Amino acid sequence: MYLATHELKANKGRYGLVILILFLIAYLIYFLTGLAYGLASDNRLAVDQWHANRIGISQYANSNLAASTLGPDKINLANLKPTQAPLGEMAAVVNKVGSQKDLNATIFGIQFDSFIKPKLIKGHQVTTNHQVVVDERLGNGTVKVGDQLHINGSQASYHIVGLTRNNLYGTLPVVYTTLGTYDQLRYGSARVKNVSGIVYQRASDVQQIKGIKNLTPQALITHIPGYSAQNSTFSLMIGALFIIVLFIVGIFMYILTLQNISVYGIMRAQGISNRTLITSVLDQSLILGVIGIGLGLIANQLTVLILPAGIPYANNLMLVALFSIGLLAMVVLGAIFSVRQILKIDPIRAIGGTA
Amino acid sequence: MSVLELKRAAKTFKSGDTETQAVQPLDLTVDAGEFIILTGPSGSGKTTLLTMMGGLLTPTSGQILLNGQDLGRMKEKQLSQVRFADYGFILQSSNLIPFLTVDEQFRLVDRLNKKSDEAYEAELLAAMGMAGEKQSKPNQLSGGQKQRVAIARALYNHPAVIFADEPTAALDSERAAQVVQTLRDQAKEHHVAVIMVTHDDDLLKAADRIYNMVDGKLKDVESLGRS
Ligand SMILES: Nc1ncnc2c1ncn2[C@@H]1O[C@H](COP(=O)(O)OP(=O)(O)OP(=O)(O)O)[C@@H](O)[C@H]1O
Ligand SMILES: [Mg+2]
Repeated sequence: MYLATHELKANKGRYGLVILILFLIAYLIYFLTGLAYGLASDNRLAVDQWHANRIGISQYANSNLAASTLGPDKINLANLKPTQAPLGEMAAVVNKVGSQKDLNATIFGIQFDSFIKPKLIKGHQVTTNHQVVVDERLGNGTVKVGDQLHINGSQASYHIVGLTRNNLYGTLPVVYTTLGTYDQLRYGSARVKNVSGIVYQRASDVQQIKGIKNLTPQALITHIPGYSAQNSTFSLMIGALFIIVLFIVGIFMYILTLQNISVYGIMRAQGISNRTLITSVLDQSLILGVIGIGLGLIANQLTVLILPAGIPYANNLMLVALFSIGLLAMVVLGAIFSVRQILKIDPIRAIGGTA
Repeated sequence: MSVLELKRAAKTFKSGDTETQAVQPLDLTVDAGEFIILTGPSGSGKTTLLTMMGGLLTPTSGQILLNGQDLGRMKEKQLSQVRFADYGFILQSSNLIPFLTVDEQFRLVDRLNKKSDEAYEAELLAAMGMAGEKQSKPNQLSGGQKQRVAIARALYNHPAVIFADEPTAALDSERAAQVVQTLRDQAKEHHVAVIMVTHDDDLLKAADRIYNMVDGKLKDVESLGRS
């Protein structure tokens, strides 16, 4: 540490540059991670809130809830326990009554006595077909209990009787309606008894029904159109940044070591062991890494404070910790390239002063 | 009493098909406290010889004995221990670490030694006339000052032998003579052997023995019968 810190202090300019680059990359990685995680969360928050065991959907739907329709021959609504919850899902555009502004939403038609009924932060649960519960983020927080909505240009209006939090699906706020309203909106009549799927709370609730494929919640989410594509895009970007860090640190430390080779030669002649020299280089990289990555994290968290509400950013402590350690590992790994340089210093050049 | 003994020690460099016999098999005995000067034309093998004796290069054949111990049989870890504890180096551009102050050069030694002797440091620096420069970085010192600090640093570990490869090459002749005189005085006082390479004939009078190296052979031993 003694050598490492003294050398860093003596060459603030050069090492400052390494820190700056590490800072920028770390900042970018943390930001992308938050966005990726936020976007992923916005796809799945509503599903996560169920804490369900399985979701059964049509085997012809290619695991995509939106493409699944189950008729009364498959799911008989009258015979279900509250832990076996029918679910109708559809995309919708809603307007507040009196407003032309179109708001994108996901409709979940449910039975309000089933276990997937939303947790409310305000108001009460739906009791009739013309009532809805909506996520507080609908219209970026402009809706209130007591407002009325048109859904998909409907003549009828629906009263908002309750608000719920963190109920998003496919990145859109969820509007909870009765199954009757759902079938009315989707199939033109509340007498149609179609649903999209059935959500089972526990393993013991799961039924094996011909034509129905039972998915884990994770599998359901993964098959939300775009979800996997988004995630792999982000993963690729973040992965590429990790490799870039490896190379940048590797190249920088290599150049700095080369410039210092005569100093290492002197130290070697003085009997300072290779181990001390190598530890010094690794310590240096660790110090640079901790400062650069730490600053990146701080700047990232400061940016989050001023981020507009519409941007799907979410912190995940585990990912942040994991990527911090990963980045640090890349930094140290990069520095290891230089160790070879130190080990093969030509002693004659070191002593002869031509190094 | 001899501290360093070379027995048929030789070094051959191989690169591809070409072999360079940088040091021919040679015998040499260095006595404790002796001041030896090595001269000779460029490329004659002086640095190679010094580097071998200094435990930084293993001889291709022969033996190098430090207090009876064969350096050729030591692992790199032991060799670096020898260089640290038994040797001092003064190089052309000084042996100072550029990013440490004069004082910190000694503290680094202390950290590796796990003991400190600031009184001895002060004594050495005072003897070199460098007591006032403890907080200076090497680049704030003149060439002569740097070499004086380098001498103090080399002596600090109580070495048996100090190796100096053209330590005055960067100095004018007056300063060169002063530095070599100080090196000789201090080495004599602390009973340290010095093996110094130089091209400067004016400095030869500091030596107890002078060797002339030509084509890897130690030729023309001039024993001045001094000391
Ligand atoms: N690593 C090496 N590989 C091959 N040949 C080398 C190597 N190091 C030195 N030599 C050769 O060994 C010979 C002796 O070199 P050395 O540096 O010992 O000479 P020197 O007497 O110190 O010269 P100078 O007075 O110029 O410093 C030269 O011919 C040199 O080219
Ligand atoms: Mg030389």
